[in-house]
Amino acid sequence: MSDRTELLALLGRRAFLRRSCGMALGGIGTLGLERLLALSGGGADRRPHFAPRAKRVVFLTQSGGPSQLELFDPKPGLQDRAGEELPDSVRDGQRVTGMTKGKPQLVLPSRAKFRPRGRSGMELSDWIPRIGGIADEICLVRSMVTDQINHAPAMTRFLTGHQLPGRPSLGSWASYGLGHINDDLPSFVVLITRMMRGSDQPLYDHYWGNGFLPASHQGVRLRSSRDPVLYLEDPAGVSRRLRRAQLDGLGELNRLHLVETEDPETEARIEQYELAFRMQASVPELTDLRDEPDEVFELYGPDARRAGSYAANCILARRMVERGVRFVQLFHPDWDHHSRLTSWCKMRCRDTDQPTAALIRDLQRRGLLEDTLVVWGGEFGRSPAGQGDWQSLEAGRDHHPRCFSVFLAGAGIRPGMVHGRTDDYSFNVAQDPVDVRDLHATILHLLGFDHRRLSVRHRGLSMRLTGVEQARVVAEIMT
Amino acid sequence: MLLALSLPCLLSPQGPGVTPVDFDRDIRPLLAERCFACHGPDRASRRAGLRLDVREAAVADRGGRAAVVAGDVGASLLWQRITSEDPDERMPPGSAHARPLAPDELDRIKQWIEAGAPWAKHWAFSRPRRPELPPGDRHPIDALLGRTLEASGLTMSPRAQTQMLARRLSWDLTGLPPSLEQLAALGDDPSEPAWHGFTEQLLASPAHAERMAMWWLDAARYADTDGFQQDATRSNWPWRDWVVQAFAQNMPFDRFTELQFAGDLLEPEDPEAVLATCMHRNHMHNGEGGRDPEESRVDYVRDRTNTVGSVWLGLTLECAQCHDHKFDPISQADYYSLSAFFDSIDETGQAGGGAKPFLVYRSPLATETVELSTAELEAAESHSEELRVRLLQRFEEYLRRRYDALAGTRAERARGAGWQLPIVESATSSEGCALASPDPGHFARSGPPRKQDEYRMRLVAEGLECITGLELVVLPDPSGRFSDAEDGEFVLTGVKVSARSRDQRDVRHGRWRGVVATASGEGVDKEVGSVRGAIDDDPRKGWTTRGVELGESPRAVFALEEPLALGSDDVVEVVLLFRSSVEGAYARAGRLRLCGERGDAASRLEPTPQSQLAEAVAVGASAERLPDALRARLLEQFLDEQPSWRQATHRLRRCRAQLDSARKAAGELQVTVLRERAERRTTRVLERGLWDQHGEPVVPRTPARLFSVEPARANADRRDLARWLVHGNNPLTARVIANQLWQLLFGRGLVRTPGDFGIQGERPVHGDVLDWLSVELVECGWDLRHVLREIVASEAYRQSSRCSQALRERDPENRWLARGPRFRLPSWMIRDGALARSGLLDRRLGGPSVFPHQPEGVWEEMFMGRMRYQPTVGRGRHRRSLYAFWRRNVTPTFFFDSADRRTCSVTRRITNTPLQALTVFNDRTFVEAALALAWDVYRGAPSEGGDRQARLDRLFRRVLLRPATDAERRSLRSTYERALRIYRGDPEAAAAAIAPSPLEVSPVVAEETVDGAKLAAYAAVATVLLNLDEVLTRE
Repeated sequence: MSDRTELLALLGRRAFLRRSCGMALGGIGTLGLERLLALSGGGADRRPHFAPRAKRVVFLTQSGGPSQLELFDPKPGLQDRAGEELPDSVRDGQRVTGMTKGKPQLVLPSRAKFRPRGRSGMELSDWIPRIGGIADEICLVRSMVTDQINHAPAMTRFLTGHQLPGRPSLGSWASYGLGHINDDLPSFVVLITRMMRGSDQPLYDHYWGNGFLPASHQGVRLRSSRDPVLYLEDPAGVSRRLRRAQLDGLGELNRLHLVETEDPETEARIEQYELAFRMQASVPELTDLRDEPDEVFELYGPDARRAGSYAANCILARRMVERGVRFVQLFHPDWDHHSRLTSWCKMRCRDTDQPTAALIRDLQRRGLLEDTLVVWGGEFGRSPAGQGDWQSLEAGRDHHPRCFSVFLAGAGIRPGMVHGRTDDYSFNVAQDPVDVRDLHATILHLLGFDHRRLSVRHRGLSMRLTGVEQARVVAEIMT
Repeated sequence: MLLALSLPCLLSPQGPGVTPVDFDRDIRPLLAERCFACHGPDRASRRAGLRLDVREAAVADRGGRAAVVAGDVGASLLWQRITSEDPDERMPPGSAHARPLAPDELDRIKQWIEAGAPWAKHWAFSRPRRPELPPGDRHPIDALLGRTLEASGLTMSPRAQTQMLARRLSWDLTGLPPSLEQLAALGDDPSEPAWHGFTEQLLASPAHAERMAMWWLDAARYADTDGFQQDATRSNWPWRDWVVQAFAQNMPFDRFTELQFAGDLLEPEDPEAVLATCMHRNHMHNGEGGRDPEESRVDYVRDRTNTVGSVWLGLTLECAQCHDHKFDPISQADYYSLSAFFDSIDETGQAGGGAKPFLVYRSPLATETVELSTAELEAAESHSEELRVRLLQRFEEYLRRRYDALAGTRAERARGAGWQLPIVESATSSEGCALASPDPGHFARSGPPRKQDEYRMRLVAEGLECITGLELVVLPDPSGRFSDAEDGEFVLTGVKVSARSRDQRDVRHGRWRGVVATASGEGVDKEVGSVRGAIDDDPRKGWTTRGVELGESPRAVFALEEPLALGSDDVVEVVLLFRSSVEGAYARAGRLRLCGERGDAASRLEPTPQSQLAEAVAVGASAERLPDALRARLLEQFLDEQPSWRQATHRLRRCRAQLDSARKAAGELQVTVLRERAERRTTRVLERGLWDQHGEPVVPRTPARLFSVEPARANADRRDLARWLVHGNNPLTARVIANQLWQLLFGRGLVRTPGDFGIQGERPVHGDVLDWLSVELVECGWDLRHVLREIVASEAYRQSSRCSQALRERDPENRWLARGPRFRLPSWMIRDGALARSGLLDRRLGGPSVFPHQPEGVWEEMFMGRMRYQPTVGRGRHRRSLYAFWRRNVTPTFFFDSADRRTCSVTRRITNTPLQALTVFNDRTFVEAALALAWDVYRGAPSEGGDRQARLDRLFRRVLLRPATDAERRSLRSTYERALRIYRGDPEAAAAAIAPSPLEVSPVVAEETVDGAKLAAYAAVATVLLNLDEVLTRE
């Protein structure tokens, strides 16, 4: 990406029109401008390839590998095989992590009970009753597949399409392809649950990195502390009035210098300082939940008032959707239940069940779900074999890449539907496998992009989210 | 219509000029982009047995026909296929997602075939030759560059104004702005020798070595931690100092290379030579649980190989990990043969302490840090001693006041003294069982037994302005049982406390400092026992008194790290977690009390200092004759109530910790280095790049199709690899390095893809300049400083960066270099520059990494509380950015557009975002720099101009390094006056603006007569100046 392209991407519409095109181009409107910007992208095809179904995405990332066996994929038959060795014909050479390598792989039946929910009769676990309550709004995919067995590479692949760090995240692609809606907020925002206790898996910033796309498409992480964006808060003793005075002085001196240099970068810098000033107002306004009525906090559950909780972040996600943030990505850690499956997994369900359902309901009643895509899922699933003594409360499950579940809702998604099926053990996909790259292709499709055409040249290659292997848009789950 | 007309001039990337078709420049890129994916060097993906990357194959007879028939377009299959009307026939096919060939591209191919389809080697794969220079005595760079420009109807821009040029040179060579003294000595019209002298002065400065080291550290993916999940801290910083030292000595680049590749083999007895090999151990180390170490080891070997590709060869070798390279002559076997040089390191693939081989090393540069930390600690000690003496004078009076108060009314007595029984407003059990509160502070559970439980109680503590601790007494039933567990014992796995407003909108969580209990037992599970298990956030650990003879009900007191303030209508929420795997082990009854006293009140089981005082008052002891032990406790409590004392103690603690780590850094360190294992591993091609899919065995061998050194040595090792890289016949290394040097000075390389000189890389406009520099580099004995000197002496380098609109439109990206480049400085230079201008910069060289200011909580958030960033106290925080501790998972927040230091990086990114504006405006380092500048002009001697305008002029000069124009002076005055008015109306803001950082002692506070508003207003102006485009930009 050239400096110039970067510049154009960052200048924003008004500045660009004002400076480069003057009055003459003032009337060409958005379409013409999009074309200009598309052309400046070094040949990358950046306009939507067809009418987008989803204008925005909320990606509810469940980090650590939530257990499909306890949440989404009922296998009552396993009760009769409890403690039996997993048959080799099922394992079929699947590698395990160093934690259970060389140990017997004994069947641990689901610790949760399932029941049919809604008119669709989708079978869901009792541990997620509120999600059960919106069964008719979601599409459950039980046949997800990945090829990574460790957290960091699997999450990197789940979010960027490749297991090694350095590629643009899904959200960056969305921002790059569709651009800003709200000029005063970043187009890709990341929210991470602040857990009540420490967590084991760090969440690396390359999960929301822009890779080789311009830095303006990087996910901006909103922190749950007083300073939601790094350096957003003015230093002690600097009031808004003073900052305004400083910005005026800065602009004046910069413009005096601009007369000499005539460098468009200088003008872009003036714009960026002004945008920073506006963000200092728009971000706190966004993150300040005090204007939400009590009824909203009740809807999202008991954690909703705790800043940094998953529930509070779900409310923030809805506020961002309302304000035109293109891609909101939540991370909820600690789904990595190698031991104490029941108590730990239930705790994660308690954190996320009600807020997730509330978010979907809330978007729905505000008419936003029609063009907002909601995705819930983690980097892989968990093995039907127990880790540790399978009979004890201490037992857990190891990582498992060959099948896991995610669900989607909203824009263009067929509600109340289950897609794909696993074998009797929930070990292999038996029908309609959906690789991670198929999910990516589908999400891009809903955003109006052909995943094969949304590409950028980098190091001499045409790079795209779905990589070089075949990916398939899962048309069956779309309306 | 209008659009169509305006677009080409706005956006065309094409440079000026049109020349005859040249295969290497015009044709190969077309073939590479459109055809090589299926008809290139990669055997596995080749279609129809046709390759178009070598001429013999392209013109080969294919049953009476040929893809390319020299001179005959009509007979050439290639031409028929790329021009076919039939979409099924036409190349490239739609499925390739390649852009179809445009008419002008087709035209070029036609011209080329008609001209006999001449072939040429890719420019970068032939050895560079010294270009023939045009006649005249111009500098060779100018002669070559000028010739290319003239052929395109362009001319070089005039020389930049001297002072601007001096700033440019200083930035480029040292990463720092020049000093005002240097600029004054140079004057406006220096002689050529004077200019030369200035250059030499910069090149000889330690700052130059540091600037070069920053380049190399990015390329070397140097960091202070392992990366990945554990992200353990390593102690490889002596290698960073080795690099600085190498640049300071201007070590020839061939030697620099050889030592980093094979110092251990060349000079095994010399620790410095072995240290150099840390270069190839700077990659990330993966310590994720459950990962196969062999998988990691394979990754490391490939990381080294790829680094060789990007940094030395300018090749995207990583493309050949899974299959033959699709464009460049590197097969998959070549790749693994190259990787074989690194495959027999005596390593295991483990991280942290398991990441052998190590060099045990003692750094001579750490002693200075110990000295400095000792001095900082002494200063902190004497400061707190002085403070203690000052505060002691007020203690007697305080004691008398407390004494009188306690002797007075009962209401006074209640306020703030001792443990207080709160009113239990509500109490709930997570299992839905009844939780009653029969008396203040008490709770009692009734209901069916459950496996686990969790109590949430809302308490009102009247009379307490804050809480400093919590007391819990677990009460037995008449039979002596505490719980519903089989043995009647309880296990408390967690305690949480928070203060919150009644509407729940303001919630503040407490953090425990410590806990003590009257008794601790042993649980069924050995993790359970000590009461510390109740505050460690780990549900597996907890407190029990099982197996202990109890004389009284077990009692525990929990002390908070920081007091939780309570508003008048706030409630305290306490959560007791009984999440043990022992069923029913929740306490059925107990009592809670709260404490609002500071000092050690909540850290000890005995009555609080104020309770003891109250008792003494009650029995009539006089204030003067209190027991010594009690007086001592009361004194500590009094001190702890003073904010200045708390700050001083905190600083003292930090200084002690800092000295401890400095001493560790001065001891024996383990630096990861290269060492061969006794027995060589058999390296194999990895099928599809998968780490455990072993293919054909290979031996260490350099890619011969690039070039080979004859005779190749059997059992070649890393020494051979290094020699091959810096061999005079290697077509790539010298070009790649010369290009990186050019990039250091011009912002962009002559080749704009510095990591890719292959067929997909960008061909340079000024290839002859690059070749001249490469030859020069090799012939002068790989003397980097010589090459830098040559470049900066040229007129090309000295061109003004001012640019006409016409030139900007013709060459927006300045590929032709008909003007000097103008670009935003790297963020580390912006930071170092602010420190240098303000006089805060600590110029010490080397030693352990430092921790400059960054916003609180950044590490905690990333690691969910597992790691905490502790900023350096004292001068060390103002050292150059080179020495800033680099945690791979959390790049220092004050950098932007930096390399990520995960993999090697030779490309520079320059973006322009609002987040950068926020950083330079609000990062504390910049705030401190602004304040230091303001302080300097504020206290400036009258001779330097006592009046406002003179001070503003001086401020401007110190930051911009030039005098202000009249318009600028007017603007500064107006900003200053606005700021002053604001601060005059808000003295508190002024005081806050000039207050030092919490852990620092600033000269400002020492002066009692400071006019805070004025000083703050100068600081506000200094902030404006530090953020100016001109200050952030190398012009």
